[in-house]
Amino acid sequence: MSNENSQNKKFDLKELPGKAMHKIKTFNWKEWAKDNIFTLVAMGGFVLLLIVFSFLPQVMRGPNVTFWRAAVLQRYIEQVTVYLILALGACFVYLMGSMDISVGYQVAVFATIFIAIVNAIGTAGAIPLALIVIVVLGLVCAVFNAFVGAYVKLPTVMSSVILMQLFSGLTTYLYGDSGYSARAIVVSLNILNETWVRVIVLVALIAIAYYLTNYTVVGKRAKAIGSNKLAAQQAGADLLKTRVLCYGIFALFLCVASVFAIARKDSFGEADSVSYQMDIMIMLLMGGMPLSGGYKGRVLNTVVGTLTYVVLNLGLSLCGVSAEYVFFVRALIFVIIVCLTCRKPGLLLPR
Amino acid sequence: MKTKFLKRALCTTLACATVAGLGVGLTACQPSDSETVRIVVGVQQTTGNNYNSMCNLLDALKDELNFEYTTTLVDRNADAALSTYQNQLLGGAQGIITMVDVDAATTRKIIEDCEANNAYYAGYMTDFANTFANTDSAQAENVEYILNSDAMLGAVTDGDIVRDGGTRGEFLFDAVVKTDARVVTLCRAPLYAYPVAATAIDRFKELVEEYNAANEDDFTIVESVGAADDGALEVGFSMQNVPDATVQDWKAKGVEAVIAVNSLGKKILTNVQTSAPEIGIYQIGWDDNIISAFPQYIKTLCQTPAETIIYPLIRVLNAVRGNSYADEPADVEDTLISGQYIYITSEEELEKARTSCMNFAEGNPVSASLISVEEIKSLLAGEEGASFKKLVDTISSWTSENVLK
Repeated sequence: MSNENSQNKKFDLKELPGKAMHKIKTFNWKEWAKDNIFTLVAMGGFVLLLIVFSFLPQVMRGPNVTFWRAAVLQRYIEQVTVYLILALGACFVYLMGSMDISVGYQVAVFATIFIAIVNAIGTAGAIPLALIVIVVLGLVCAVFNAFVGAYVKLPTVMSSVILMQLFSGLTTYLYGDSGYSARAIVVSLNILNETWVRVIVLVALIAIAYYLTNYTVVGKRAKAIGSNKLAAQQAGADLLKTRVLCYGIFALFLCVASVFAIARKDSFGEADSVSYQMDIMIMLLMGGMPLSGGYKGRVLNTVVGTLTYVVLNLGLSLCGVSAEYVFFVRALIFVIIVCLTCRKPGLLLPR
Repeated sequence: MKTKFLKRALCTTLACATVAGLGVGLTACQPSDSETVRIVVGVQQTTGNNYNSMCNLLDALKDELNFEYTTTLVDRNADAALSTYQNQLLGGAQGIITMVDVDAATTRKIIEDCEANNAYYAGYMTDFANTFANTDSAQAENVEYILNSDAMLGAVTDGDIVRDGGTRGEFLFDAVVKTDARVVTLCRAPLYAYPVAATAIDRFKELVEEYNAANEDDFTIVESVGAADDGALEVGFSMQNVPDATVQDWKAKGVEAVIAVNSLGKKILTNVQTSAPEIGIYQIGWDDNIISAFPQYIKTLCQTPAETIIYPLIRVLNAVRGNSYADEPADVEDTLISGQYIYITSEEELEKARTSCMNFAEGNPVSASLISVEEIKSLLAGEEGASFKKLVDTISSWTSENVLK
């Protein structure tokens, strides 16, 4: 919608017929709100949670337990980092109406290989090499995902199922062989644990993802494929190329997330990322991202969803909610958000 | 005159304010016994007799010992565990009692967070000693950090490990040697999770060799398809049940008993029960789902009394309140103590356990506890006669022999 507006602004308004000029001149709030209702609801949910957690922990746990403290915000950013990077990458896949459920296992393998290479060489100089290796591996996976979708005619989620099995086996092999459930890294990546570094990286990645989805051919085509694959293809969108590029971008984000995941603890364990795929799916849904992809999907959905998911976990802990009820409360909030943001099939395609 | 008086008044006020401020500050730093201590217990599941027993005991103790507790779910996902504990510390937790021993690097991060929040970390039914001993060289620095941190208060293990699994191997051998079963196969949990399983298997094999050398009815150890180098089939966490094909293979090879080390009863039971009911399962562990199969299919049960929670609890309460024993160990390693398994091999023993230990009693009431609330209170530092040795001795006294008498 914003693209259409920006394109329209290039015309000389005086040259337009009266009705069209009126349409552009008067900003229609109703129309805008209708178009952005899911994002607005998701953002509203996030703001509501922030308001609730601003006072509820104090009520439940005493005056010292507040949300708006430097320590809490620091941990919040720490816990958001890996999730948000992964979700931003996954956004490109979801925009096409595809899904990837191998995220956690891919992160596990990339992180383990990264650690193995760095530990084998033993110096910080090994980091670029390790990064290149996992990026290449990620791009190979991207090409595989794209080809399976395009040529084998399987739903793209199936290629990620294959990758999930493959990487699950690899993870078991890598850890089972060593006899350890986690591997530590000998070169510290502590610089990545600085809050300012995390914030800069996150802002930069959000900006990159925003730019790519809104101002590049790959982003526009990904949305077009998600909206209507056939129409996109007939309009000249190269499905295979778009898929390779989207999965490629996803792989790059995944590699960055893997490095941040290692940096957080200076180690990586076999089971550390098993829940990522589900977490990311939930985050995107919470942010109002349509699972069918298309023009309604935005980077903003990803950001809001991730921030909401993490704030929910953090806030419930601050309130001292017991283990038995955490899942219940989380599920309840999730159901409410999904109910509010669910779409009718008829509204999936852009009008 | 007036100025002098004002100066004096100002000085006196300032002095009083300083003293009061220092007092308040010191009080804030050093919580008194009257302050409620906030504890979080990281558990792997919120069901089962062990969890219920632990909660019942903590509920009975919280008013007497002036603490409040919440349970939080933690699993092998160390990244999630770190986030969970971080959030709990931000929520005001002063002590973490964990049932999950994650890798040394993650433990170090949790301990660093504890230090930053003036909180403490202790383990319940966790085997830190083995976890730290079985790490790659890259973890050495982390282990050293943990073992030198004041925030680390030690742990009590699940079962009588005494830092090796020999006793488990001996128990399984003693149980099977009493029967006619002589063709056996070995199973164990993954070694990264239960390093003691290796020692248990080794000890069992040693005893078999000794027995075979002295007796005519030799034991035969049958190796399962896909067995590890030590001859035992590794039953991973992801394996829901031991496959039927494996059980059929055991059946074809004439296996009479499965020797399974570490909580594998449930994983082996289903297909053995349906396909090869003649095979006895001798296992280390307890699960609510296998009790109905005892003693027909499951021949042995083991469980650590939930009452051992008092070890990390007392350690945390002492530390938060700034109390310590006269014989407080200087070395963190000495605070990593061993619990005791209650080994059960017959229905009679199970009946006895039901009357003397919370885990086994119907409804897990505190009235069946191995220790009374008053006795627990008397173990706190500062109480008359309380000492670290007494605390450890109390835990050590809960042996099968004492509990089942």
